[in-house]
Amino acid sequence: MTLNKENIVSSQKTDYEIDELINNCLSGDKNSFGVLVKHYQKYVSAIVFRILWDEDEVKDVVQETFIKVWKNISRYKNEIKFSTWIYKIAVNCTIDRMRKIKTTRKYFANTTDTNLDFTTSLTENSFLEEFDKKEMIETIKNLSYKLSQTQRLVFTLIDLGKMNIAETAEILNITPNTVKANLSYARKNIRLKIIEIQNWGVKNEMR
Amino acid sequence: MRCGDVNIILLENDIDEISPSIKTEVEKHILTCENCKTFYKAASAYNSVTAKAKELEPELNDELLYKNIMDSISIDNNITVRDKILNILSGLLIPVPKYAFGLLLVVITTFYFVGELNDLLKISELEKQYVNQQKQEVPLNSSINKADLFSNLNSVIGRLKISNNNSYGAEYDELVITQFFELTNLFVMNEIKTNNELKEYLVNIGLNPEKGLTKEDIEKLLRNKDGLERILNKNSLTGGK
Repeated sequence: MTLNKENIVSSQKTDYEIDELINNCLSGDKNSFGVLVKHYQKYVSAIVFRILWDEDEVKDVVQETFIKVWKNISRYKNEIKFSTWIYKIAVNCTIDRMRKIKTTRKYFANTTDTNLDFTTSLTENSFLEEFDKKEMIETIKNLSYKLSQTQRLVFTLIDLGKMNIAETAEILNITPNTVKANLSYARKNIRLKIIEIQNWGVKNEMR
Repeated sequence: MRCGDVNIILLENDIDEISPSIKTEVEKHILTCENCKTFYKAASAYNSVTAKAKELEPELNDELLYKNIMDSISIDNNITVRDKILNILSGLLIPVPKYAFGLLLVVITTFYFVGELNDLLKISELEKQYVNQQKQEVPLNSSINKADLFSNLNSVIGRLKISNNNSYGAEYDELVITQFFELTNLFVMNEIKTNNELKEYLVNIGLNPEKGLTKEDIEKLLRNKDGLERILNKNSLTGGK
């Protein structure tokens, strides 16, 4: 099943129910918080996973995210959707984690292409179809790691997470125009990388 | 449609979401343009990548993760109470403009440094007082510069049996001077009040009271406090004899 925000949030809880759960949490009701955790846990895990592409790190970041949500729930204001607020915390926790492991250079650009071994002749329609999950993760990870941090976050939230420009701008604390520009660069860079590894060739004006 | 237009369309839109009429125009253009054709192929491959990426999910034990989160929250309960208080406090400060914090910081810093300065002045004052007190408390029987003592207080000391040329030498002088200052100390402490008491004391320490040293002489010496202090200070600075 394709995991996206709409089919989780709308199918399980109404905004009114979410508000009620938040109010209960403000009174210290952990059971209500448990319901919120179950409600958002999978989507938060997916977002974090698609930024880091590392299952080992995901559970720690998700746990840290919900602890922060619990600690700071009294700071939540109705000006933004609760889901957006949680994703904002999740993305910030992920960025923190990326910084902590920065020394390994795992999560930043300049990753080597050692995992990009496209020996099979692929067409645009069969791209990645021959790969198993691990190979796909490695390939997508390498493609996204070619991007700057902001480009990668924008690409993940919009093209993989189906978020809109405004919501992404709110989560990343940048302007909608910056989101658009970064999305455009992210798409271009990944496409150019695909052209390069597929050896399709492209003249300079396309770059 | 030109190459630049195709590029913009392909970059700003998901290829599957381009309207049919524009898509027809794009497809018409790529029939005659190899570069745009390649880029169109890359856009399709990109769609394939993102579609695959959306299917990828972390293999997590959701129940265990849920349990860990809830356990962490129970442990952090006390912290939550503290954080709630902090949240309330920070909430109270929200309406205060940012520059007010800067101003507040400047005021606090100024007060802090003024306070520090006052403390420094107080310390300096106390140091002065302490030094003065120390000067006054320098034991009178401490080793002193004899030459100064002889030249300044000759009239008094001359009546004691002190001589640089006596047969007992410097050790004897030292002993007599020590005794002399013990004597002045006794006057300061009011333990010797009369000439008779002075005579008795001088006999006890082996000096000859017939030399004529009176309590008035010693009192005169003590009244000349500045001279005495100067000698003692010089002594403490020069380190003695």
